[in-house]
Amino acid sequence: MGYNIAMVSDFFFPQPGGVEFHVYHLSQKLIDLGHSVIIITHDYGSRNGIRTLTNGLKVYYVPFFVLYRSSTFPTVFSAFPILRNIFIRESIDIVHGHGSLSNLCHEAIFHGRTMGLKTVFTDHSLLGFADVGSILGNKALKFTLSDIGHVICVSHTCKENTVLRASLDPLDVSVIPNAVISQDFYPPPPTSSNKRIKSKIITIVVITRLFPNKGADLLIACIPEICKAKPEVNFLIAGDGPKFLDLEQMREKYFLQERVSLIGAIKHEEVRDVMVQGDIYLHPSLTEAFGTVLVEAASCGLYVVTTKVGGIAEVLPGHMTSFAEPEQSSLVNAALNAIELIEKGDLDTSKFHSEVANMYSWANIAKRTENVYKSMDTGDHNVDLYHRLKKYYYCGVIAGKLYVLCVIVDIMLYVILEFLYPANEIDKATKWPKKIKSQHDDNNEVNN
Amino acid sequence: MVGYKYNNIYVVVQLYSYEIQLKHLPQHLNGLHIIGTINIPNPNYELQLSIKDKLPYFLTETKDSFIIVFEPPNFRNLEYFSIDAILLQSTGKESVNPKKKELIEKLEIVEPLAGKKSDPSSSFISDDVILEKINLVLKDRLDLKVWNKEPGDIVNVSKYFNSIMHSCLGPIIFLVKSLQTIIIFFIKLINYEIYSYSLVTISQVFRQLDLRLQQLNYFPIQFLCYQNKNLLYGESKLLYELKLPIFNANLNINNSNYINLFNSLWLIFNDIVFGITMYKLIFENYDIILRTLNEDFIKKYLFSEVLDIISWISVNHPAGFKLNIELGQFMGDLFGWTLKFWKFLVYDAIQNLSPRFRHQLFYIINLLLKILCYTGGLSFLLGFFMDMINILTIHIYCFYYTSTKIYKRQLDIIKSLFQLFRGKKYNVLRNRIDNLNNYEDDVSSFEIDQFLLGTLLFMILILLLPTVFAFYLMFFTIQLCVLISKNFLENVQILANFTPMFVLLLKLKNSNRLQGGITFKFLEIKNYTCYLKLSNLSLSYGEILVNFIKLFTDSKTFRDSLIQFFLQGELISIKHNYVMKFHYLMLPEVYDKTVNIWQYL
Amino acid sequence: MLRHEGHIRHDSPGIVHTSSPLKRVASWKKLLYLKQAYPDNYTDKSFLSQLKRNTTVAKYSYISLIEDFSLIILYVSSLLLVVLEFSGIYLHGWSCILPTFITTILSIVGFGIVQFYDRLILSSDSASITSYLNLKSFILIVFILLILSPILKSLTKSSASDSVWALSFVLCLFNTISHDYSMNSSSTHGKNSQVLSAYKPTLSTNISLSNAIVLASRLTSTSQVFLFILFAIQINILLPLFDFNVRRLKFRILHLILFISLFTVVNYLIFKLLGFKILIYWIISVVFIVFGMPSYFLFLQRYKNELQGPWDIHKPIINRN
Repeated sequence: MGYNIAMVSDFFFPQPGGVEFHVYHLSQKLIDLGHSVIIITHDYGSRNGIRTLTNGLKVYYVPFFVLYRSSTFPTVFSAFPILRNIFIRESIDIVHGHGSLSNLCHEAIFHGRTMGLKTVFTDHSLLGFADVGSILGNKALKFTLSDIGHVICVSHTCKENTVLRASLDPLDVSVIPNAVISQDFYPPPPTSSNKRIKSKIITIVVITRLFPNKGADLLIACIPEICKAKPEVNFLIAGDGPKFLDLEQMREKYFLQERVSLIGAIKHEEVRDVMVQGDIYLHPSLTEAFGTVLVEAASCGLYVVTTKVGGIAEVLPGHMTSFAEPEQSSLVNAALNAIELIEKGDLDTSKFHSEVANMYSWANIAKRTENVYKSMDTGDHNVDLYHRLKKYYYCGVIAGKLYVLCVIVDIMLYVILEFLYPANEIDKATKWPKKIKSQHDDNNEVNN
Repeated sequence: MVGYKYNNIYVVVQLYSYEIQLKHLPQHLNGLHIIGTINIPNPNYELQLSIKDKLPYFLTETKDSFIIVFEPPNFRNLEYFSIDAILLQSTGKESVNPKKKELIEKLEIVEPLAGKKSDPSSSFISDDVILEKINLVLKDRLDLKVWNKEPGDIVNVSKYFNSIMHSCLGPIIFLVKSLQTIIIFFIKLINYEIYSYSLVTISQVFRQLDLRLQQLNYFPIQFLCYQNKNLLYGESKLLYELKLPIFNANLNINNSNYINLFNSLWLIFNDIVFGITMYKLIFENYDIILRTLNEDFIKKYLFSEVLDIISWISVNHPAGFKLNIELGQFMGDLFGWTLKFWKFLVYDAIQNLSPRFRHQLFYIINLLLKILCYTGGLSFLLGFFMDMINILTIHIYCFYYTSTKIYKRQLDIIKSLFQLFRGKKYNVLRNRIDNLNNYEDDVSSFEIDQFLLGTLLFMILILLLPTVFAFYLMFFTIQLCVLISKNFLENVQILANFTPMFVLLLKLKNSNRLQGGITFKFLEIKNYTCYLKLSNLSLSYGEILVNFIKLFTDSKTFRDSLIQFFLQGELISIKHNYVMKFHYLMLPEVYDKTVNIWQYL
Repeated sequence: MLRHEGHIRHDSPGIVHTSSPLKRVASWKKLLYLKQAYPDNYTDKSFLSQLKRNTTVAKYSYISLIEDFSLIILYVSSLLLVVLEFSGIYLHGWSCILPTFITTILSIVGFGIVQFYDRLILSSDSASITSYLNLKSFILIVFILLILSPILKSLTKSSASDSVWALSFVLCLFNTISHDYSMNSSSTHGKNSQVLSAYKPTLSTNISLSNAIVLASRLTSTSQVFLFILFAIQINILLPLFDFNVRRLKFRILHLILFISLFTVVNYLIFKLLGFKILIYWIISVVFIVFGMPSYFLFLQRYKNELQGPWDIHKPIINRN
């Protein structure tokens, strides 16, 4: 018996990004495990209404007002009527929200709790405690997670961060990483790589959005130094952002136009083709929850040189990576050492692909997520109203009272909605015919 | 039953009550043969029908067949069936409805074979060959009748008639040909460019003359198209030579040329009648008009009022705004002097002429108006008015031009100084905005003295901007009024030149002649046979008028992003698209080759 | 089940495929690529071990805080001096030749000293740093001011005086808020060259000059306008710059003399133009800012609770040269 799961996030296809791919691939694999999954997101331009993707994965593009970087306008109650309608229509058991900056996800979890559904939240990002934006985000997160069933984080560092931000019990937080589709990130055939070594030109690939927090300044400072030290090194940089101009100016200042190529933003499906042109992947980021791109690079057979920030240290084993501090000298040294390793031919990158394929697979991730769902069956998560309000009340001196008020209003709204649009008058959607579960899936290795 | 057979389609032309022998048929009736019988079952023929009530039915067992009935189009009245709508006017580009194109593309993806003829053994009713045969049914009947009776007699009569016509035509052709040559010479003359300026580009009257002459020049071809269908048909060499803006070239082109010819003739006639009326009106009030023009229009509105506004803005705190008096006075003086000089040229010079000269001048203008109205018509008169406006308001254009340039320069300087404060600079070579501190190793190179100077200039320009803007706003408004009045006159001119009057009347009289496509009307289904009626879909009023309305908005415009232009300090003017008018009348692009038509006869 | 040993040697990547039987005692590792025999929500003892608290909170001494806060008074005094000088000229018809003459002489001498000491004490590369205000550009600015002063005089002539005062007040207030005091306090920073490269008070320089222009445009004669703007530039822009250099070169006594003399002149002018009552208010507020604010700041420090860990956005360390 599978669950009816609603994945809720502001971020979904056609927009590219880590959360978007996570939601899609996880949903696909959960469908393979025999569950019924729908995705709820806001509309993207003309992409509005209900669409059905591969394997009957139904996507609700709900028209909401989009505020900033495809996050919907932060309201507390406005999405309740439509979300309730969808939850009842699809007979949802579990509401699974993604992304702590997605307002839609917060609302869905909150209303899901009011309707007595099981809720899971996956956090994909790291946030500090200092600036105004993160303080507001943390307040919203605390509100949502006060009454959550279970939380999933993509890395151990992310877990520590989320536990602190939302004051959670660490046992309610699981760590389940992202994965890659290793078939899509296969290394180039060995002949061509031999040719490249003969020509003695080493290409360093960088694929990153050129924002300050992604380490663009560090990158700009490192490139001239590396180019000066190693005349046989070329750079291939993909990505766009506010720091693109500075990168261009650096190139002109040091006369590196022929050695540093900037190809601008690329689509996710082009990432592999760019990566296989290089030997080393350089990642200058200053903060990262997981770093899927590192796994992709290693899967393509690239040696990874990265700053040791956030959850990056947990992602790849030491023989695939070289870690550096987020400092210019440290990163330059790490890169130069890596170049020497490649030049000497000491490094065998040919097995990276199969190793990575063993480490990260979506099937495994889905299985572990399913375990999280199952773990909620046993415990009684629906406590009485008094205890529920108590959870919210202790969130803060002023915030706690505000939260309690919100919960009470939400319950009243639920009653009104139940009166106006009774649940038994809402049509139930027909489920997509399930795949016959093959024996192979059952025998898949089970974690924990 | 006599008719044509194309694969799965039979076109029945004529019924005979006896068994006819189709031998020695004339050339153009080739392919005609007996295709079946009615009411008399005869297994020799493929088609066996029977008529009891109104509609025939199949005697043989046939599944999924259609019987399509139609009224044969009268080719003498220029009636015919066509799936392409007749193109009476063109807008210069092949107008494919984007939505329709999208649908066609989608259809091709879903059903790749739907649009194409994959099977050579099947035909569609929309094929050109079939429609041609259907269109020719009435003609074939006549020809059959002639052939059946006495082949020879009538042909002789028509030959005789033709020879008489031919001898008469000789001098007429010569006359028309020489007229055409003269017209072409004139068109070339007024289009002759000196320093990329020609009479046509500077004067609206000559612009109108150019249009009228080109119309006249094309009339013979339009007329002859009706007489000789092959002139512009198919791969005619003439079509290529003239570069006609024609996109659906089949039967339609002859018909549309015919309609356009009479539409143009009608409008020219109307134009002249209106022109004469207008002239009579002007002539009766000639003195009053002259006086108002001189005293009210030139002296009051174009001089005194403008001078008042300039002085109001320069020193008198317009609408309570505190502008910079020194700068205001300076600019006000500048504009004031220019205005007085203009008045001296335009007004005082005429006033100071001796009475005899003045009288003669007015008489010449009067004569000019008379010639324009009697030979050209209302549209020429309007062109004359527009030219007059252009000449009389030249000072306003100059003021507007100057203030716009000053405003724009000031805005540019403020913008680049602002970039300087942000530590950025526009890079002309790379066409982007650079960060200044990325090029220098020494960070403090953007020094404090540069900075002070920048701030000093910035403050001065910011504080002076309202004054400059006030002048700019005033001249912009006045120029806008001038443009609006010119635009209005031009609209009236378009109304006089291009109204599809004849087409609208044709629609009322015989809508079959305005082919907008074909339509099938369902009659009934009986014994697996579907009965349809084929008829013509005439052009709707919307389709007739759509290009005409487009002419008002597209052939000239000044409204495009008006606010944006105003704020950025760009010049506004009426942007003309004269080619569109020629396209609308479907006039040939190469006008001097029209004489060659006589070679093709 | 795959198992790795921490950081694997680079020369033998093949070790990945040698699977070993699961040991019950295998300790938990904070790694994602291993498949470990612990549940996903396992929380190790090392959980939050990297959490740091209040690492950036520095211990402040009361004296150094008073020094830092006195910089605010220095800058506000310089702003006040210009405004007071203006009101003297505008209301009482003071001559502005003498003050401008004195400040001009002082600024030329002052920057001469700074440059001289720079050459003498510091190595040659920092000589270029102080050359940003050389004599040439000084003369250039003076002459451009001279040329533009007739235009400047007429800029706000048709506006009402009240709106000009209001504008000037807003500009001064904004100037006080937006001035970069932190870069001024050299006592907390070690490296001079880095501090100096960052000292570019763009916004406050802009606002100071704008304020001077707006005020000067109310004056009646061209020479007044010229002299007043020159005075304002020297007091509002060059004086803080000079003071900064003085502190950079560690002439503490000169800094103190500068501060006290400026403060005295401002007090004298307030007394003369606005009376004794206003002077008292001013001195009370100065005492509050210099002595009251630092103690309140130290009081607030106790409640500081900063959480830091690997999730924070790291500050990249980039060597500028």
